[in-house]
Amino acid sequence: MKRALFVFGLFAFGLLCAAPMLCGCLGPVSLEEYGYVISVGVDTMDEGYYFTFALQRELSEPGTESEGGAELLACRAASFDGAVKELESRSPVKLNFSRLNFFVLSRSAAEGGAVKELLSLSFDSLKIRSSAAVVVAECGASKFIGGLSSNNDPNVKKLQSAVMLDMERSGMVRILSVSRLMEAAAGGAFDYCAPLGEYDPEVITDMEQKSSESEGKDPLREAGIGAPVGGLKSRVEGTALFSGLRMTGELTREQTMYLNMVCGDFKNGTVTLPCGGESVTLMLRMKRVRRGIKPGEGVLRAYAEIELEAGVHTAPKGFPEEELDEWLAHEAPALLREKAEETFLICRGAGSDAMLFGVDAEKQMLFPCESFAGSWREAYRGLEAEFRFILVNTDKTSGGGAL
Amino acid sequence: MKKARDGLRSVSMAALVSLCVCGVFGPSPGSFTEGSNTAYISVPLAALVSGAAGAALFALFRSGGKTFPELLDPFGRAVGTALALPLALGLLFCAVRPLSVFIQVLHRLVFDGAVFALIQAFVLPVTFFMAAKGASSVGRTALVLAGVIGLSFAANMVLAAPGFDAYRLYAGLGEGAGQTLSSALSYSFFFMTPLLGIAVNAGEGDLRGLSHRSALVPGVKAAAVCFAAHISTALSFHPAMLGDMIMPLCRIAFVSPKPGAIYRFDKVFVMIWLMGAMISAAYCLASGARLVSGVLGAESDLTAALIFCALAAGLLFLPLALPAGLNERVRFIIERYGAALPAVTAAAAAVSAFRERRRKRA
Repeated sequence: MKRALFVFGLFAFGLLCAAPMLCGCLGPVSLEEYGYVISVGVDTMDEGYYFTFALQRELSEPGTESEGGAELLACRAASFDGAVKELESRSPVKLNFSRLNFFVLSRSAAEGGAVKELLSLSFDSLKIRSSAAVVVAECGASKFIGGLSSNNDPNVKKLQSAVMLDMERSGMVRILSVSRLMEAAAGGAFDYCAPLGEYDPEVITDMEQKSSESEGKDPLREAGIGAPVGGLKSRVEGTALFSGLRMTGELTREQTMYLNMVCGDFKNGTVTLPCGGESVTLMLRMKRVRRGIKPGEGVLRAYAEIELEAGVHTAPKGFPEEELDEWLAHEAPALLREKAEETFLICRGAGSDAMLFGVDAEKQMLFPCESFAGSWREAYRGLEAEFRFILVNTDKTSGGGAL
Repeated sequence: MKKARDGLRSVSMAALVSLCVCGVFGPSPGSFTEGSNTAYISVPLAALVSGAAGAALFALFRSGGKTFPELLDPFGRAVGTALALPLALGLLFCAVRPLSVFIQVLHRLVFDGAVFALIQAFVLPVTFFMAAKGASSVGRTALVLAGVIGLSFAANMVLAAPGFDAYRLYAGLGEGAGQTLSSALSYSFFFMTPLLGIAVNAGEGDLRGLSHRSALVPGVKAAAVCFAAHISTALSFHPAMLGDMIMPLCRIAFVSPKPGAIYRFDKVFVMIWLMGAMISAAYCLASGARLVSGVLGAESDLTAALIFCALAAGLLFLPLALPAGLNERVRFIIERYGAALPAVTAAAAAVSAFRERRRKRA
């Protein structure tokens, strides 16, 4: 009897453990029935918007041709929900946003009210992770998204990740998540900024290349001398500055690097500076940043002291080493300081606290919590900033070459 | 003696998991004051205070020489049952609250187009099965899974660390010390209730093992876990964002996006933490059943466990039928004033234990 009860108990336990797993069989949805959207593009039209959705295409089977790693769906609609309904009605898949990487806005959309409408989306019900980033495309969102595809590399997510890797390798790209955009909109202690994308139609890519050489074009091999060959047609050319929820200015790639340095987000990069009529290229690595606000009478003054490890990548031939060291210690930091000040003035002129000095003001509790946003925006208009760069010469401190 | 120690150890592990789950997922940081967040102070403080109070109570219960349900016998069957009911209700709410949070998360963030009832069918049967087996069985399950759950917590925080910024703490300090202490007192409900479950489940043979350490150690550990969880949330999100956000802890890695699949492990972590919530719910339901059975003098806890499970299922399904405002109001009242529930039962048991100790000395 006891044994029978034990066996029955085991059976019941097994059934109970299996039952929850089998619950997934109720209303199952196959993976092929989903279309995973990895980028959403928004362009403004006379009435409403033009939405472009890039769906991740599954790797094609051997023997078939691939036209690219993403399938594009686009339509005109007054709102995001309207676009989703329209595209689902003429597509065999159900759109799934759980893998969304980028919201790409055209410049006019970013300067208009598109960001506000973006924030009104229910990210939870659409299953959009707030780690997605916003990109502003000078050329238009649809074109920029199309330029991120490659024929030979169908993994379009990997291609999109290259934008983030560019940020880590060069320090000339600044990407903030939608979560930071929501925070900027809610808290008001800083302003958002987004990568500014551009599309170069002259770049020759493999998009028209066929898998068999005998069948069609091979544009990469047929390109003439001087033509830009390979890679993607879309790239990041700088940073779009926002004041509140509207785009109000832009920075170049080089200015973005200084922005990243001041914000403490710079890791590695190179910079070319004038030196005695010629130029020196330095390899820089961030050591530390010390920053804050000096409250004074009348005017607030922000400061940032940036310490970088510097190695000489290329220098004029025959340039004396002692003079180079002297230049590195004094003139180079002054040049970097000028560039940082120039970047700050552009940000302030655009009314954009992209350098996050409002965060320092909040840390130092310069204004009451309840009225912080308004008080800071008022104070930022007259904010002055001073920058100090310290370069640690790694060629000297590394102990020189071998014995 | 060893069997009794092992029984108490497994119950203590289940209680620890329950303390951590209730402390992390029970309170809603935005529920008391808008635009501020000092949960990383008030919740761990509540855990420490509850641990200290539990330590004093457990020492008293032990000196009384009776099990927790037996301590309510001197008040008579009817009054004793009435005194046990507040703690039983508290255990029921502590069982239901984290489960309802997770079911909402699964519905809103994980499963596309899912129906609440199907998600509950996914979660509830296993929870109720564990509850029916008793707190010791739940504890043995907790011993196996606690490491995985703890590791997933730590991994989530490590992944999110680049996005932490201390300025978000300054924005949340608007509450003031008085409000923070008041919140700590309210949050002690989520710690005192599962802690008392250890005493409830301690049988006659376990009494010698029931010491002040049985409450203090879980209280301190839970305080550490809750501090880590709530400070991570506070360092990742501005307080103004937390009001409408459900389970902010699973989204902290989204603040600083990096390439790599590991930064998309949020749903995996939610599934692992769900196991913790199921263990916590099963422990609370089993403890409630043990308490009511003990007070009513029933030989087996099974009937009481089934009744508690049915009540828990009802409480999970009921909000779907009621207006959303009413649910929020009830939740707010219990979170705000619920600390009185375990306090009533604990006070009655403490009085009885004190009298019993005096009687023995006399």
